[in-house]
Parts: sequence; C-alpha cells; structure tokens
Amino acid sequence: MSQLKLDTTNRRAFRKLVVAIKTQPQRLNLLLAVCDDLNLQAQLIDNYETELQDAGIGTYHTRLSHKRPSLKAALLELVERESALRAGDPAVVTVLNAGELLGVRLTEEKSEQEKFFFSLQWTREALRQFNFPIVLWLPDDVATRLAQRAPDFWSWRSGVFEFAGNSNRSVSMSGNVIGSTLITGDNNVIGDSNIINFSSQIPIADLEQQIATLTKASPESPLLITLHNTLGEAYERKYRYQDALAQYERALKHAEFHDDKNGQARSLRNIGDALQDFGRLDQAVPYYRRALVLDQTLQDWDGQAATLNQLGNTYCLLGQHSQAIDFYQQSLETARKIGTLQGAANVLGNLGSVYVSLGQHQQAINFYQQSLKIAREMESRQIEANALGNLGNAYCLLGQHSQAIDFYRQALEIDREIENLRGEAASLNNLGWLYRLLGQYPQAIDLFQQALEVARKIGDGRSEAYPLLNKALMLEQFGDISGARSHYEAAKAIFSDLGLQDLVKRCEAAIQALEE
Amino acid sequence: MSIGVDLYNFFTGKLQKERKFREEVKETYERSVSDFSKQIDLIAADISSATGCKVLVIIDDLDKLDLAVVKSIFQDNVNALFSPNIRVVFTIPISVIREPQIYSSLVSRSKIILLPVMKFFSKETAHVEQAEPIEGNVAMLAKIVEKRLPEHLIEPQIIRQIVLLSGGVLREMVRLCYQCCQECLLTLDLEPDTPDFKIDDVILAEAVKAVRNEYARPIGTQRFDLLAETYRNFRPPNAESEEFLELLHGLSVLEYENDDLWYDLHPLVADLLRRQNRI
Repeated sequence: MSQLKLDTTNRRAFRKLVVAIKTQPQRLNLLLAVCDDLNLQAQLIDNYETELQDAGIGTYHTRLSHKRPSLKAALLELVERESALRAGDPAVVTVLNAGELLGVRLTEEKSEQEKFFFSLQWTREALRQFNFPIVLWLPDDVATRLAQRAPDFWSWRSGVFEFAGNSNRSVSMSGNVIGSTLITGDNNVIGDSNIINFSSQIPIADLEQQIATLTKASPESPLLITLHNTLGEAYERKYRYQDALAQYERALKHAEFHDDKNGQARSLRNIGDALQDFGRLDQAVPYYRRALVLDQTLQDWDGQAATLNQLGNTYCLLGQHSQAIDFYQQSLETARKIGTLQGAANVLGNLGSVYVSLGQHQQAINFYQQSLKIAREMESRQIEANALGNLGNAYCLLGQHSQAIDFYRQALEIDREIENLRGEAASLNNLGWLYRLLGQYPQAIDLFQQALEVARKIGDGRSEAYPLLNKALMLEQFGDISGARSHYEAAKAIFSDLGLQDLVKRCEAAIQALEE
Repeated sequence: MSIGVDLYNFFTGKLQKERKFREEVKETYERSVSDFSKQIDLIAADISSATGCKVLVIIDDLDKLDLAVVKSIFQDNVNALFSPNIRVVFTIPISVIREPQIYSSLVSRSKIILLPVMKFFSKETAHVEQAEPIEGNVAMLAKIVEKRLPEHLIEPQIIRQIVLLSGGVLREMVRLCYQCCQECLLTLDLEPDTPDFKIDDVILAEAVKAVRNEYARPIGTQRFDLLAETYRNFRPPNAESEEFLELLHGLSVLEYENDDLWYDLHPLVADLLRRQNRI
C-alpha cells in the first residue's frame, strides 16, 4: 500500500467514504467517488481496500465494459464469479472505467456514455438484488453528465465524495510525433505512434472562443471544419481524447454538409487517431480506411502517407505484423515520393518496431539508425527520442545491456525535456525491465511504479498496462502474492479493453499459476 | 387465439421467462390492442372472482423516462392505455403534466390528481425574512424525523431546520437526515475521543454543505439565470421549456399549489444562488 498524503478536504472526503462503507457493508449503498487524477484514485482505492480488509470486509473490483456499458451487467458478472458476494458476506465493490466510455456517438445511435446513463436510469431497481455498497468512480465531467442524464439514479445516491488532485489537463506536450516502444517480459513490443498535424499552435482558449463566436454568428460557416479539427488536435496534444473526439465529430459533420472532401479526410483521420490513442484499435481502422479512400481520390500524398502510417500503427498494435509492414512500406514510398523527411523518419522508426516484434533485431537497428539520423538532421526531438528508446529495446533484446541503458537514458532525458509523457512512461518502463534483467530488483520496481504514475497522469491505458504487468512479475518474484494478483488483474482488464488477447491470456495464466 | 402467447393462461400459470414473454406479448398484440385489453379484462375478472376484491393496477416508474419517451407513450397510445376496464394509477412526475400536449391527452381520458409538495409558506410570505411557516405542515414532517431519529441524538430545533430545508420534499428531508448521521460518524472516526454528542448546528451545516454541492452539479452554470428569474417572479419565463421542466424534474425548482400554481426554488438551491449574489 502506498503512503497516502492528503490535504484536509481530501482526507475528510476519504474518511467519509470509508465510514459510509463500514457502516453498512451488507446493504446496497450507491457511493459516487469523483476524481480526475488517476494516480490519486489508485492510491485512495488501495488505501481503503487495505483498511476494509483489516476490518473483515471483502474488497472487489469490476470494470464497465465499453462494449456493454451497464453497471448491472458488470455487477452480475462479478457476483457470478465471487461466491462471497453471493453469500452476502460484508463486502465493497469498486467500479472502474466510467471515464473510458466514449461521450461521442460516432456511427452509433447512442454514445457509450449515453448507453451507460440510460442503463443506470433503468436498472436502478435491479440493483436491489446486490447486498453490498458500490463505489462508482467517475471523472468530474462524467459525474455532472450522470446527474443530468440519469436523474433517477442520481436521486438514489447515498453520497458523493469529491477528490481534488492533479489532473492531466495541465500537462502539455510539445513534440509533434509520438513513436515510443513498450517492452514487457519477452519480445512483445508495441510501436505506439501518431502523427499530429501542427497546423496551429493557437491557444485552446482562443480556439474555443472563435468557435463559440462563429457558431453563433454563422453556424454553417465552412471555417468551422478547420476550427473544430484544430481545436481537437490541440486537445489531443493535452491527452484530452474525449474532448478531441467530440471536436472531430463536429468537424466531420460540417465537412459532410459542405461536401468538403479534404475536411472529411482530415476529420476521419483525426477520429482514427483519437480512437487509437484511446485504445480503441478496432474502432479506429474503418475511419482510417475511409480517410485513405478520400486521400487517394484527392491525390493528397501527405494525407495518404499519414493515413497509411497510422494504419500500420494500428495493425502493429493489434499484433498483425505483415499487414503493418505493408502499410508502413506504402507510407514510406509515398513520403519519399513527395520528399517529406519527417514522415519518412517516423515510418522508418515504426518499421523497425515491427521487425523487433518479428525477432529480426539487426534489421530493426538499421531502420532505427536511419530514423535517428534524419531526426537529428531535422532537429526533431521527439522522433530522436523515439529512435533512441527503440534502439534501447533492440540492444536490450540482443543482450547488450550497457548500450541499451545508455540509449534509454538519452531517450528519457529528451522525453522529459519536451514533456512527452507517453515516451517518458515507455522509457521508464523499459529501463525498469532492463534493471530486472540485471537483477537490480528494487530499482526495477521503482521504475515500474514511476512509469505507472506517468501513464495515469495522461490516463493512457496502454502505457499503464505494461508497467502493471511488469510490476506484477516483480511482486510475484518477491512472494507478494496478493499484490501480484491485483496487478495482474488490473493489467488483464486493460489488455482486454484494448483487445490484446495474447496479453490477456498471459495475465490469466499468471493468475492461474498464483492460485496453484 | 391462434398465434403467439395466451396472456390469460400465462398469468394463471407461472410467471417465468419474463423477457421472452414480453417479446411474445409485443408480437402478438402489436397490431391488435383491443385483443390485448380484452385479455387484461379477463385476467382482472378472474382475480376479482377468486379474491372477491376489485383490481387496482399501479404503473410506477414512468418518471424515469425521458420526456420525449413519456410523450410518445401517452400521446400515441392514449386509447390503448385506458382501454382495459380496470382502475389504473399511473404515477408521473409533475414535469410531465406541465407539457401541454401530454396534459391534454391525459385530461381527456383520466382524472389527474396532483400530489403537491408540502408547503411551508404562502406565496406572499415565501421570500419574507422571519416569516412564520405553516406550523401544521412543519409538525407533520417533523414527526417523521422524530420517528427515525432517537430524541437524545438530535436537538429539537435542528429537526425543525431540517424540515424547512427540505422544501417539503420527503425524500430530500430523509437525505439531509442521512447526511447528518454520516457527518456524526465521520466526527467519531476523525476524533474517536469526542464525548457523546448530538446532531447540532455544526453537524447540520456540514450536511447542508454536502447536499448543496450535490444539488449544484446537475444545474450547470447556464441555468442559474433561469433559476434566479423563477425565484424573483415565482414562475419561469416559459414553464413549458425543456430546460425548466428538467429543473422541475430534478427538484431544483418546486411547484406549490394555491388557487393557482406558483414555483419556488428548493431551499438549498436558493442558498446556492444567494452565495453567488444572484438573488
């Protein structure tokens, strides 16, 4: 359990939550915990669970599924699994993941959030079958929408517990290309890359103001296509994926209304990017494919190179390597045809990552070195950091540990300098892995924890899952079975959300082994 | 009946496989509502003859629906809804009958009985400082608190304050009592050595703060002007607007009845506006 340091207001809210659970651990009680800071949330949960377990109250977790966003369904599934909950033993159930539900509708009739609120409104009576308190964790904006959209459920609340922390909203990111690699136990490598078009560095507040003014004065103005896309991209740089998606969706609607193909292609690619960043890989693919068709019709080579690269990334993340290579190579050809060095450098780095996944390390190193060379010529700090981190991975896998450490440290330094939090999380995780290989376990655990904290700052599941898994392996090694189990469970849940079945199975096998 | 389900045999048989049954009912009766109501009449007759009692059906929970859905239920299906020859009580929120089209469909086929919120002040005295509340009504709700909370745990004038702060809404009065108890438990948790204490001013103030903040959440910043105007005039600029109906549904605005209707803010919402110097 991590040491909890809380200011007076948070401490009051925390104690009130614990007291509410302790008073009636065998009765349904809807407790709504509101927090935007995932690190603080994780610490709070960790602390109340430890305290409650000591008081003889069983602690359980469940997550809302974005495929079926229903509280009742999540609880039923948990109760089915846990006999103690069926027996009516004192317990508390923590419900996670509400913040991961999409607020935009995309092609659906209702957004995931709307489905969730609707189900809350309608399954309230059905919750009566559960004889335990439920702590539903919600980000602040989701809590507000819940109060508005599910008023009946809201009226049933036994308490709202608000926690103020450091949300990701204040974090900025200055680079323009992300392409880091996360490495776990064996050769599982994930290339995580995204081209963000820096057409504008206008402050967010100005963009918001311009959109508000223009929408009022001229709601059908075609300028809104560009403005919504630009604001979305600005949100995305601050890791505000939900807000970004909402903007892209509006941009797409305006572009369709004006039959603006360029605007549509940009909006579609942007929606794909935000979905990919949000870990919705399957959902991203159709948007990229639609964007690609438009790029081809318009003979927009820049757009094609970007879309092809993103398709490559998505397939790489899904573990479909030959398809990924195919898309990367098409992207590289296009980028070279029009002479965009930055695009080429990025794709080269991503190609390297696929070859690492295929175990062809030397080939990968060649690609990374090419990428690094171009990045340094162009003074693109972010691509440089990516290439360095990736080189670290390749050398690590070749067993050349001191070289690997050197590359990781260089990457980490740049990531911190340009505030690339995703890259920082990856570098910390990878360094942790290396220290584990070297038998320096306390440093390794510490680095995994740091990686976890950075990942939670940006609310990025993918960056969070790997250090969780790695930390679980370490805890298991140290004989901390319950700690290891909870980390495996948490990693498994995220991998499952991300659709990474191999890793889900790996976590399941690890959990199974713990039981035995 | 040649196809689908036999409602009568179903009810007189076993009440299982509810979901499948619902689908079958829908398929069988979708096109023939009169058959459906005949079946309901038969069931009612059977219950009556078996029990010797008249049948009353209560249909609850319509307040959970979005206004648009309630609209379509009552407007498009009003004949079907009222066609069985039995007594039916539909419970619907006040905001629904403030929608003029629904109101006209309902009033033509049924008797609308308004169950108003318990009123503590007349419209004339509602915003007068130090005005005397209607004692009978205060006493009635106070009795409920007294039944729920032992005398030695709460100061008598606090009961009165809780009652008045509820705006006459029973559920919100219970919520305030519950919050007070949670605050007491919190005090005991933070300072276990505290000697015996009661629900007093300090505890109530904390409870009020918590509930007031919960009230603030769904209102959103844009609706404060509408609330302020409602407070000033005892009615909104447009009582049929969706915005207003949502505030009414969420109990931020309460409807009271005299010779005519008037509206006021929930006391905790009025408190929110006062803190922002809007009223």
